[in-house]
Amino acid sequence: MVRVLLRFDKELVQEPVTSQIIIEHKTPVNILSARITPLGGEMLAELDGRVADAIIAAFREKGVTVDVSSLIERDEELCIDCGACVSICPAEAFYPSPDHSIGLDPEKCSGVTCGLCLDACPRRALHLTK
Amino acid sequence: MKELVESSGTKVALNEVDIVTTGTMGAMCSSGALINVGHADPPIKIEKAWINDVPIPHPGAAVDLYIGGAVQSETRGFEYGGGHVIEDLISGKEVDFRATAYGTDCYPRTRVETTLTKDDLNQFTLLNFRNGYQRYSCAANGRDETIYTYMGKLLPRYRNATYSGAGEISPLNNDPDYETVGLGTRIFLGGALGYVLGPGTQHNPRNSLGTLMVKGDAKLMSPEYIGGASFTRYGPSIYIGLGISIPILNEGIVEKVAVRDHEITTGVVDYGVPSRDRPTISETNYAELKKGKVEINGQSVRVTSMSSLKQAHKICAELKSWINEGRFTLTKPVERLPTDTIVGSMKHREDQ
Repeated sequence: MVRVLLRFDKELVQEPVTSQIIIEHKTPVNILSARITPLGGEMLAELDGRVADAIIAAFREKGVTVDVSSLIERDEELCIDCGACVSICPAEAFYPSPDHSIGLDPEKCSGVTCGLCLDACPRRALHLTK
Repeated sequence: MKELVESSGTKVALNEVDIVTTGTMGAMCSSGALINVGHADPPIKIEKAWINDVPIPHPGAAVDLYIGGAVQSETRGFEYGGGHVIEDLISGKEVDFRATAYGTDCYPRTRVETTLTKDDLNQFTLLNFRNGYQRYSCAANGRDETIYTYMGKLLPRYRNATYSGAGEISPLNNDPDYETVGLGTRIFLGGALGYVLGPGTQHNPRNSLGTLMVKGDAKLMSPEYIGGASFTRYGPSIYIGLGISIPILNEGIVEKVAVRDHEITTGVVDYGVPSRDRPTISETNYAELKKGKVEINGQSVRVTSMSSLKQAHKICAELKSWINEGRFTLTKPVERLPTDTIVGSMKHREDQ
């Protein structure tokens, strides 16, 4: 599965873009989380890896911004491996490693649709990918 | 050492081991740095001072100041505070300094503005009045809303919990009767040498909640072991790396340093109750806490450390290498920490 962050602008949120693509391409789109308002929104979704490139192209054609990069960045210089992010994360993207450092699995992160960890980090080392 | 005592007993451990190193690195708000900025010409008797817009209290003579680790910036609020100022200075960064005064016959100047680095300071002494808490409560929140505390962000209805302290490797847990740690004990502080000055504020030995007052030359410290912190809707603070070496003098001390995480108990406290005497909702220990789960009302709740276990282990290893290389020698305390003092509450009128 390929994880993508879809961003819809003010005009696009009025359209059933995702449903259209599912019907047109006969492919499942697994919606993990979404935050949509009349002013626009973001949706985190998983696509079938075999057709991901075509689906991403289809979303882009309809004017949706598609982000396939990691959703969260950690400033390793600032992080002191305290663990304030670990229990706050509903997706369990952060975990304590055997060497007592705090591991990060960006694949699990829900990004902008969640953001619970951002103000929980006392070192302000966590940022959403722009 | 702990495994050695478990496998071979205290007698073997006493013969094999001379010193055990301990460490912890957590947010310790009652920390700060005493600085002397030198005299200007004409001189100023500082009344108010700021570094990077953080107010710097002036408790003494003309140019002696104390950077409080938990004091917040007047322009950036909780996002930047005294702890960040200390970290920036230790890192060698230039900071903006300004001060005002009412002017006297001997100190006529009424304002000064300049930039400073740690090299411009006559003294830059880390002076912390409460560090190294032996153990601490585990925090959770029973309210229907998220709360932000000095124990971090606590989700509603006990959806997460936080704790602090390094458990079995934390200094005072390995010397619970304060036999080797006291006034004059040389320690690892912020990556440099430091000393114990005595018990810290709220030192509470009868409840295994001992604390330390410590000092050290901040000019020699490293940003790896000292760092500013921002706790959302609470305020700034400072992370302090602290390590203590414990000499294995007799079998009694062997038994004490053999302490394991499961023997160090603490309560899970509901920080959602805005009272001094917050209710303890369950009992736990550092073994459970480090495994990442704690039981609250029959539910398994994910628990997070607010202090850095990785750094605590690193401090133990670093201090060990200093001792092996002959860069650190142990000292006998001039005076031991009290074991019988109590902590009182604030006396105030009931109607307030």
